[in-house]
Amino acid sequence: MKLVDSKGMKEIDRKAQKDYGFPELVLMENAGIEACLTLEKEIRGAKVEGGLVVFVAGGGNNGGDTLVMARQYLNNDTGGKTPQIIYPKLKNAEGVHQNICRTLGIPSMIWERETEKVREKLKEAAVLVDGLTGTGIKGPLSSDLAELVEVINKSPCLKVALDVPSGISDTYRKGDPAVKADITLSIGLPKSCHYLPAARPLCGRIEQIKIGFPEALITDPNIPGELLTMNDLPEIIPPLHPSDYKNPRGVLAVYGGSPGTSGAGILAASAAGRSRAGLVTLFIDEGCYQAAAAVMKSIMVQPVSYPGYKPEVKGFTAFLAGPGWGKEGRRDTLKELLSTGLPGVLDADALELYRDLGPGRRETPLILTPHPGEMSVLTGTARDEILADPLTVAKEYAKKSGAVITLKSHIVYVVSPAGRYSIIDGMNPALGTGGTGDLLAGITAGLLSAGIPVYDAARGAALIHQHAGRIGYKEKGLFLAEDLLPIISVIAAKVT
Amino acid sequence: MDREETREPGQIIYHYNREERLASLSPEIRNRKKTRWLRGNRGMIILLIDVLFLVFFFSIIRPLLAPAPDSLTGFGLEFEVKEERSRIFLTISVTALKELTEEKTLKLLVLHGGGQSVLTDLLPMEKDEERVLYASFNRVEEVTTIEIVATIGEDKFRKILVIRP
Repeated sequence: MKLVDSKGMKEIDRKAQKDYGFPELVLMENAGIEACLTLEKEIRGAKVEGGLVVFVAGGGNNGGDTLVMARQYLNNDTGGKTPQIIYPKLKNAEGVHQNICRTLGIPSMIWERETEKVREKLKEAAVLVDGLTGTGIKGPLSSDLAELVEVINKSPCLKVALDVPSGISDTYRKGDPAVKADITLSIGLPKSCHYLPAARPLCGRIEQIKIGFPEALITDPNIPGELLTMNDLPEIIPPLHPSDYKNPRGVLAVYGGSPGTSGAGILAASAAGRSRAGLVTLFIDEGCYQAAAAVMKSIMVQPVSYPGYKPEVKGFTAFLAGPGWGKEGRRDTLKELLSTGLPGVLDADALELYRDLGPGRRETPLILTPHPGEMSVLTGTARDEILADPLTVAKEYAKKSGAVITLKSHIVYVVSPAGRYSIIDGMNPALGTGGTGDLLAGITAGLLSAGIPVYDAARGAALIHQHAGRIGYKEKGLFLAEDLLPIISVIAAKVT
Repeated sequence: MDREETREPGQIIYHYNREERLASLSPEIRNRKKTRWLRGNRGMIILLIDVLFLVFFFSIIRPLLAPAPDSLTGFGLEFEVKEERSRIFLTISVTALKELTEEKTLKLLVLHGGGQSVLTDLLPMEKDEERVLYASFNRVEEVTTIEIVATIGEDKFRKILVIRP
């Protein structure tokens, strides 16, 4: 599914009105009706009994959509729950939808005039629909709206945000005031601001609402962003050919593992072999060769010593360097690897070495798989700044380096050098355990070795990894990275 | 310098005496004053004509005879193929020939003996900016034919590459 920022959504809105002749009021009506149907379903699902359903309607399109919801809600079977509108300011209470709601007799209050009454009313609320602000705001909320948001957040009611929780936009930063929603009803298309690391936990469960935008507008291939789900995996990774044998499936060289971190190399090589690669060789530091060779049965293990090691690339279809590799004496080896033209994945220690070598367009198709700390090492940007706006940082570095970047955190961002980007909604703290990053690097390299295009290998691997984490948590609770290996095999097999 | 000419077997000596040669010329020619560099220098004239022909050929005729460069409305395309054992690595560089006002997507369909790869990415927006796309696949036939179909919107470009062992 395509994903847009605030500017991209405005453009779709504009084209729907200008190119297709949709009046703005029709779009609002569609949004309100669809959102109301979902709201009622959610209320039934949450088994909310009695009480008020409060609609907080600000001045923008979100406010208009919220008022349509309020009157639709009034017309439908409300199960004893009555609607109540709250406007933040007096001027927000004027307009077409406001007049209809007034005529229908839906009670309303104005926050700036009746602050105390609103505080009391919100205590009675069973459900709150937040339509205070939309994606168009720039910077933090003004102090009066921030105070209203604080009151909303204190209410124990079910909070449903329309399009975005108020306060969240493309410029949202950690700590800015924002509504903490249980559910966000995203209108038209998912928004990139939902998936800002600091904003994502405030959105709760994100549901998509279709409001009748022409299909050509919301599936336009020129929209650079997409939200990936497991449903997309078969389209990204082609099945194995029935006549494939180990060589055509991919021959991968893994440079990783050194004394103290040998497990990282072993995990990465094991994940690669379970993803797609038909032959995997782990080139491991001679100091831990014996231990690795003793546990690796299907994966070939070669001892190597640094510095001065000239990498073996003949016959390989891709390489992975970095998991538990160490840095000392490895720089020239990496330089050699990068000059071979072989597709490669760089992770962990290899990322810092890559930075030292000076990124630039090489003939080598590369995927870098940093976490925010490693991204900080690569770019020199502070970790907090990366987390505040990961897409911008990743896009800039992808363009500069010519590499595809998989920036992994509780949300995963895959960015191409051209600016195309894919987001995978993670939100699975169970994956936050040692070794899971090595698995991701291994899966990515396994897919790359099979000849899967660079960007597809990166996003396919991120999907498999996230899904494995979800299944692992469901089946095993808090797991160790190696527990995911058999799950990776099963997921990868489904697309072969 | 006067020297007796020898005709010993295996030894050939060519004699050259400028004074003797000039003496054999008619006085009219001998006394003609050399006013131009090329006058009386036929070899130099022929060499000059050859050079002029080569310049003309390489600057005018050759570009006219050469096949049109690979391009797709506003974008130059370059293809590079490498082979490593039974794996073929294809690199496709796309360069913007002019500035783009809005984002556009390039779709590359690479058909080969073993199946197909689809590469999709945004196009470079600034003039002379380059994007590089990669594909790799297994060689399944002795002579591999790769068909590349590049599409930008409605615009299509087709390229056939034949790789022989």
